Amino acid sequence: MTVNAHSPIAADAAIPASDEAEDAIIRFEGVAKSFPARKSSAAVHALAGIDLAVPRSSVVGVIGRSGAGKSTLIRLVNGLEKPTAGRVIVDGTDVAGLGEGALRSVRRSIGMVFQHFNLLSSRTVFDNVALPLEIAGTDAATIKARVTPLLDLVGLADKRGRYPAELSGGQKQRVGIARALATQPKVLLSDEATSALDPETTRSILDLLGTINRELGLTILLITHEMAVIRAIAQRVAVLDAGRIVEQGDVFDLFTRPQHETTRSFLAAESGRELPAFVADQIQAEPIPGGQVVVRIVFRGPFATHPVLSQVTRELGIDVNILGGAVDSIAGRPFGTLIVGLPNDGTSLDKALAFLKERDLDTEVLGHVA
Amino acid sequence: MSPEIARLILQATADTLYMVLVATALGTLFGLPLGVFLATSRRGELLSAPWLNGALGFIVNATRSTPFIILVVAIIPFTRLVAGTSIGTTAAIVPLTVAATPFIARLIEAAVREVDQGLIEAARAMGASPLQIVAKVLVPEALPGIVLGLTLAIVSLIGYSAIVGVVGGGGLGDLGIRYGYQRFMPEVMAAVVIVLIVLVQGVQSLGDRLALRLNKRLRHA
Repeated sequence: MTVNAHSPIAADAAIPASDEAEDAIIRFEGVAKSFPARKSSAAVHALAGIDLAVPRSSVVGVIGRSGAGKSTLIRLVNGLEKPTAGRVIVDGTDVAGLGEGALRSVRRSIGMVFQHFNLLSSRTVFDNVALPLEIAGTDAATIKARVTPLLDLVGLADKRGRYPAELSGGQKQRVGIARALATQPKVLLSDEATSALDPETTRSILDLLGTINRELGLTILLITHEMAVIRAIAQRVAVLDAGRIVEQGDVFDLFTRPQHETTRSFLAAESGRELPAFVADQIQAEPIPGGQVVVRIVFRGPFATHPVLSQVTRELGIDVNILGGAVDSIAGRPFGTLIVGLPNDGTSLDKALAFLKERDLDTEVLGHVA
Repeated sequence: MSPEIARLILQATADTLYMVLVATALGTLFGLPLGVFLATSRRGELLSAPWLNGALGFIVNATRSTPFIILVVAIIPFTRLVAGTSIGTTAAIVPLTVAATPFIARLIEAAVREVDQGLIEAARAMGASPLQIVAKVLVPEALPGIVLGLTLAIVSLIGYSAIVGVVGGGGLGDLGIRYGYQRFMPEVMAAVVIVLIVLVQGVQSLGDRLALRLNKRLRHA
């Protein structure tokens, strides 16, 4: 796959540079979506007050539980769903206001990959990737010239004549990705693209999406219910809960300083934030004389890689008991979580917390153990 | 068995095949678009037209609930209008087609409804028009089911074709009744039954094999 053939930069050159600090290729403005009441069910307010900007050439993730409205949200971008209020602006066009005919041509500039791949079982790998081009009325020679490098890009050149039933889940999703790229879209929508895959395959598909984002400069908007997906490739993230965005921002900030309860619960199993079972079993809210105070320390920023804990012990003379944790990196920046026990002797806790706060580390007292 | 009888059986077999195959072809010609429309035109579906869907569904049901022997007699004026006569093998194709069309339409509707809704959504997301979705997604994906449905339709029409003997339709059923039953020639009756069994078996196994070959959902590397 040549990078030039796919680069959206050439196409963008015609558009005058925006004065806005952020050049958003997708922008939700006050979007609401409700489904009218039916005989058997009351009206459903799927989304309300959605404001979200997706910067050009970025990867933005929307995370939420099932039923939070994320499927509806991503379908608003290519007009598979229409908002009941607000605007959805894709590359300068409000898609909410378009008729079916105009929408069809906009959809050809937006690729989409699906959780269950949605490949045609009656078509070979090559013909599946060719389908969007056939629909756009592209001639056979151009189709061949376009599809072949895409199969190389996703690593399936040797499977071009195979049928989907002969492929593994990961291979099917690679076909889905190649198909989504066939019309050289400006935006790629990923609808739970890795949710049906095992962790290892998920990793390789996310790597592929990351490569496409970097090398082709393609903007990716993805929805998921897994923080691991967000963390692997997204730069920005929005947390969706009951149809509203409860928190959004830079992925590193959100991971290291989650504000909303929903975000915290998504992060619970991530990066050692969860209490080890032997601590969780006996932790209690009441202080225990002679026991330990359980504190979560989040390492971020310039002190993330400093040996802060041994300094606490050396400089303050406080014993630190490590109960659990992990050190990792998010968006290329180091980040760690440690769960430690500090002696409950009346003074150590305050001194240690003050020391850590000076170094810009976040602390949270979780409870007490014997 | 006299050469005369053998010739009669051969002629009757040819008549039956002629009636059944032409009626199937015409029934598919009308039944395919009808079936696809029935499968895609309920409220909120691809070609959403709930009123027309309901009306066509009613006509299909009405035709299918009329016993074939009554249908043959009831539409004699229509048969005469179309075929110029109401008697003979060619004329018999008219009621056979009228009976086959709604039957085939329902079979095709069922096959098209089996296609995963996710494929329709994917095609819409690619910018496909409803007609493109029908032509490039629904019909090709439903093809194994459609072939099995048509096989079933042919087998049923072979049975129906025996009934058109009452309007001089000819064919194996007619031969069996006139010679085997009315002229007490059990060997003719036996021959007719054997030929019918062979026909049905042949059509069914041919249809099964074609459907299997078209079905790419199964791994058969």
